[in-house]
Amino acid sequence: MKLYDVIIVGAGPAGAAAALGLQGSKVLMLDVGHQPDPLAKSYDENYYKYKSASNKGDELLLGRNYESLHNISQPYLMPKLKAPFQRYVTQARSELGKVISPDFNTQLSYAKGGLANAWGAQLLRYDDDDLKEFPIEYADLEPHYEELEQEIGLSGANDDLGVIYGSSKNLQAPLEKGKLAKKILSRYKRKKKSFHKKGFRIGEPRLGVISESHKGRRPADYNNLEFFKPNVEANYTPIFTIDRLIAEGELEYLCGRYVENISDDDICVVHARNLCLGIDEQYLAKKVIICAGAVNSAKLVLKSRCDYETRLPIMDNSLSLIPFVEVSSIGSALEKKSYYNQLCLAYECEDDKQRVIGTFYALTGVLATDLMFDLPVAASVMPLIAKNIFPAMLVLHLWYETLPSSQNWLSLMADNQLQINYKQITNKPIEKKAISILRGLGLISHSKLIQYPEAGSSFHYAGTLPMKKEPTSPYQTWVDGRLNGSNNIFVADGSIFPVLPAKNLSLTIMANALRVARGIGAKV
Amino acid sequence: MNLNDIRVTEFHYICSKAFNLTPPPYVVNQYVTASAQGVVTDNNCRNIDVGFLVDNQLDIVSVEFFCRTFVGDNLLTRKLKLAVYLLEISAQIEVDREESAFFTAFYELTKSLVISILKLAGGGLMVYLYKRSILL
Repeated sequence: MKLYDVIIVGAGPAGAAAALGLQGSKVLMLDVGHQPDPLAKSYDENYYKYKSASNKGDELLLGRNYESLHNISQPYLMPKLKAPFQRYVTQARSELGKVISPDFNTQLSYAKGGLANAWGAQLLRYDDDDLKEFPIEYADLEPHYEELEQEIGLSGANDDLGVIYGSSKNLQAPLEKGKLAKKILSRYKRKKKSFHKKGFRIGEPRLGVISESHKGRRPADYNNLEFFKPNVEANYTPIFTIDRLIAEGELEYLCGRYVENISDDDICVVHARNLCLGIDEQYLAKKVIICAGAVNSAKLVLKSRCDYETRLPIMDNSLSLIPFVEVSSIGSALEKKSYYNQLCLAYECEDDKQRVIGTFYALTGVLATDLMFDLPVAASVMPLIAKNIFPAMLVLHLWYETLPSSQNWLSLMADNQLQINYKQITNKPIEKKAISILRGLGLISHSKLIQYPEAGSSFHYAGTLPMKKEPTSPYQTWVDGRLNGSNNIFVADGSIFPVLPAKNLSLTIMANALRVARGIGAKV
Repeated sequence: MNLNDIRVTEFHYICSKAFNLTPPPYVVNQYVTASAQGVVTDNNCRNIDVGFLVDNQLDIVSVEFFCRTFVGDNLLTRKLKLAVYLLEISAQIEVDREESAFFTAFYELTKSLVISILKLAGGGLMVYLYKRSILL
């Protein structure tokens, strides 16, 4: 049987970054690897063209099995996950990803590229303040951030938010904004000082979406298809890196493999089920890096140790959604050529001693019906209201720092299903302050309009196998990513976060995976 | 009438009462198929006798708005949502403004709010009469 230097379990952001760091070694990546319907590629016109032409866009917008209508009677799925051609991202056979949880919206991905196939592509560096509870510092991650930003292709600006996001040499020009966002940004620039005093900063989003050609990928075409079309070329997903490494012969990739457990000795034996043939297979490696995502990685470790009792911590960024209207934009024509992620903000809330990160989204590229029934008006006038108000609306998503709590845990049950218990925290005082401050920019909202998605809806799952300088439990990891009590098993995804800062975690997951992989690569 | 015929009547009634339009046959077909596939269920929501509203030609929009506001998730709202999704995707209703029109927008918004208030009151009255068995 072939002996690999390293086996990587999972092909999400962490898996791709780990593979990048292991070039030159004999590496195998095992993945379930669902892929999108190739038919999706044929849709390359603007979203609104499909929408305005009778049944031309039915397969794209409605779906052969009416996938877009999922939220009418089923538990909520965000627009990007319920879109017909995006359903593969969280599609799974029930035996793979069943989670029992009354109060946690667990979305697990078995797709090649993982949940990143549906991410907002916000890629932010953590600073030392974000990393204060981590046993590593910014300096440990900095070269890896640099390398990844060059690999990914990042648009944004070293503007007012640079203080929070960190300055970067690798930025392409920011993406096109709509008129409303431009208006808000110019008002902010005029009143910048007073906003700074209140701890508020607004600026360009920093996104893994390219505005100029990069590594053979075409720049953003502003076709507004991000919610419906998988793998839009301008939006980075880990698939680009994985496919490049496969093409260069740096990585062997096997899909259709579900890793059930790993035995750890001098040589690691990875037991995987071949989902196509329905047989069990074994793969040998000197080292294994688990990159299956915080929930799946925890499940794999618990299962490998036949532990049906231990409760592991779990975190997800608390999220709130605040709709804003800018009155002078009511009745404007809908922007059909801009990217939905318009502006970002950071709010350092002195009273509550926490940093809140936010993004303003325009309502372009989504079905109006997804939002219309939240309006307190009769159904017959909803189209009129949507037509006039939506172009004047921005929805602010606010993410909060999350700390481990004894109330938030996951455990493996005897039938190998996961159980998750989670208590969501809301932050109404902070949101009220934000609403009041943003009124200074002409953005109107009310605290009664704030929505709190179910716990787990950020899909920023983390902290199940936290990294510690001196681990005290077998479910903690060392600074080099090694799982405590194991010689050759490493963890390199969101599991290792001891706390979850408000900033989007994706780039840091990747930078840390690259760091861990480089350390392993040097040994093998 | 079989179940599909009932759904056809129901969809035509929703379209005419809410949006004053006659849907093309392929959209009617989508409504029937989606309903048959279980897109709309009464799981975990308040069941409302939609058949009663259709048979008695009652203002389905008023009752829906009242129920959505004061009862929460309910079967009638789910059916209306299905109809609105299909009408939006098939471009039968216009939800995107092509040209800027500030004053028209304010006129339309004012009109919409007045209609909504009247519908809410009308819906409340109908639910009251129904509960008192006066409408039966």
